[in-house]
Amino acid sequence: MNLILLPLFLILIVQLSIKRKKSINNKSKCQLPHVPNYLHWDGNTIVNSFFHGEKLYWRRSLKEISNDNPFTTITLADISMNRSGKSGLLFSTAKDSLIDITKGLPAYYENCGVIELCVEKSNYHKIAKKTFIDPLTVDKNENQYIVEMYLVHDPLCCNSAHSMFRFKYDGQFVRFEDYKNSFGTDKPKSIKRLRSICKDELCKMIISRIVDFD
Amino acid sequence: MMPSPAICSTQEIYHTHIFNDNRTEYDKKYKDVTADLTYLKTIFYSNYLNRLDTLFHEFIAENNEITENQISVLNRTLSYLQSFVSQNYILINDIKIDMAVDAEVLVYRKSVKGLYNIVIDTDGDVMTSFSGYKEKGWRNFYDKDEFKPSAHINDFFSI
Repeated sequence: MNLILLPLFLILIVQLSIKRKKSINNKSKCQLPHVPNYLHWDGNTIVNSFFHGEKLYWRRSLKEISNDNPFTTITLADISMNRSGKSGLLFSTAKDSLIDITKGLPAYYENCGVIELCVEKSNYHKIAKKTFIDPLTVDKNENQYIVEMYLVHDPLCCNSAHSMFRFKYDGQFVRFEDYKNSFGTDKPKSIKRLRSICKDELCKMIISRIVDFD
Repeated sequence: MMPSPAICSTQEIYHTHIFNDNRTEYDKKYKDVTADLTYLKTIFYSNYLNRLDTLFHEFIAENNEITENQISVLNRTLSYLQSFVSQNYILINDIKIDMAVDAEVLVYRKSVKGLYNIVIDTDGDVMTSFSGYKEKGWRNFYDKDEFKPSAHINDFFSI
């Protein structure tokens, strides 16, 4: 029995230490010289509301930007972008989203451009959230699958403007590591339809340049 | 008194002769040109329609992961678009086929108003969607057996 539990216990310890390391990294002071001071995160401020008219800067490769149909390249995991903030609480400008904070040396993403989206949301105090239900099962006595789409402020140590579109399915946020388990191709039809809805929603945002949360 | 048909001036005969000659020549040339145009049209449209057929076969050959359900729905979709194009002489260069990252087959057309997407998932179920630059978009879903291109994508070229 102990022999069975021991590996599980070790895995748990490793996972906890990774989480702790991550949170320490997020809260430690930014040491990168090429990152402007205003992008350094103080470790505390998270503004989970978005302003009406606020800009979102989405870095994408030039190949993706020139693509006629954004649907071809969209996935629903780890959709990162930078928020602009608004007068009085400015977070970043469009060109800041081209700063590479994964490297120590001054580095900028090459062959990338920025798609500028505008948030349309009348209620500042409301969380930016949309709920999607599978339209083909809504009137039937079948399992109801629901996916929630959130726009959240997710500051990093060297990028206080970092924000994300996150998708919650079955009570869990979809992450890149477990994308296949959440939205993979072998999932029930309803999940595939919901995946298409979410991707279409992002496609509509890219085409219209508007993020509508009303 | 009616003039005798045999009695007419040389000038009149000359004009009639020239006119008839020109007319014959004109008719002949007109017929030739019309025949050429018809011939060119035939070649053009047959190549043109074959192009969509070629696209379909090339796409299937290039994408091994495409499912039987997707092939069947894609075939029905393209057949409808092809018949629509041939009846209405619409340019089909705008129609594109692509594969998305989650193995959905996309048939799409970009217009000045936005993007019309036909998304066929691995089960063959279909989502039609319009994403507008200015206009508000929409989307609809169809089960693979219920999807009827003539009824469900008849606005593909009008948007």
